[in-house]
Amino acid sequence: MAATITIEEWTSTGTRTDKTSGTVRFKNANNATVDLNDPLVVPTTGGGIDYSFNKMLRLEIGSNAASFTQLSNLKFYTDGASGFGAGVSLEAAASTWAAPAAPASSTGYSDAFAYVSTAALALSTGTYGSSAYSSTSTPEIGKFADLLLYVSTAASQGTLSAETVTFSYDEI
Amino acid sequence: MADPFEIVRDSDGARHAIGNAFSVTVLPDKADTCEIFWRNRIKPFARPAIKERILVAQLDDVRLYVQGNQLIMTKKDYA
Repeated sequence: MAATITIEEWTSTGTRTDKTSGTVRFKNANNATVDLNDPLVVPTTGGGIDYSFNKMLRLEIGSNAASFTQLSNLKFYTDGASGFGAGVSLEAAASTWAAPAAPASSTGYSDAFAYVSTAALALSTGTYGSSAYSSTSTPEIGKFADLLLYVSTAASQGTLSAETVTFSYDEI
Repeated sequence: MADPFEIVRDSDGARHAIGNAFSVTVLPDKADTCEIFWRNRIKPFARPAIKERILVAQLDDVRLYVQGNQLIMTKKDYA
C-alpha cells in the first residue's frame, strides 16, 4: 500500500496547514488563509515591485508510515508555462526553514516555470535511493519548496487563475 | 487501494514487479544498478488533489515507465 503523503504549508514551526487538496494564496501576510485580505498591490510607478510573503511548502508522511520501506528523490516542478500573465512572476527555491517574510528582492530564487518534469527542483538528493527517508523518519521530509510571487507595473489588477504544480517522490 | 504490482527481489538480485496482467523483471548487471520502484506524483491545490503512481524499472541509465497499458523506455528521468 502506498505511503500517505501530504503537502503542508508552514507559517511557523508550530503551525502547518494541509494544502494537499487546498489552495495556496500569495499575499502580503504570513498566514495560510485563502481570502482577499492583504493582497499584493500592483505598483503605479516604473520599476516598482511588490513581493508577496514567501510560501514554505513541505512534504509530510501521514499516519500509515509502516506501509512503505523508503522514500527518496523528492522533487517539485511546474508545467513550464505561466498562466499568470505579464508582470507576475513566480519564483522557487529549495530551502531550509526560515519564517516567511516579504523579501526586498528575489535573490536566491529562480523562475518556478523553468522547473519542469525533466529538470525539476530537487528537494532532496536528486536520484532514486539517495538520502532516503524511512518509515521511522520524522514526518516532515526534504527541503521546503520555497515559493515567492511578485508583481510589477506591467501586471493587471484582479485575482489570477490558479496554477498547478507537482511534487514527486520515489517509493519502495 | 492495493497496488497493481507487487515488487519483490529474488536471491539472484533480480527485481520483479508482479501484476495480474503482466510482470516486469530487471536482471542485475555487474554494478547492480537495477531497481524497480514507484514514482509518485501529487498535484496539489485541486479538490481532491490529483495523485499518480507510476512503476519505474531502472537498469543503469535506462528507465522503463509503466503507467496502465502504456510503457515508455527512455534515458530521461521524468520526475
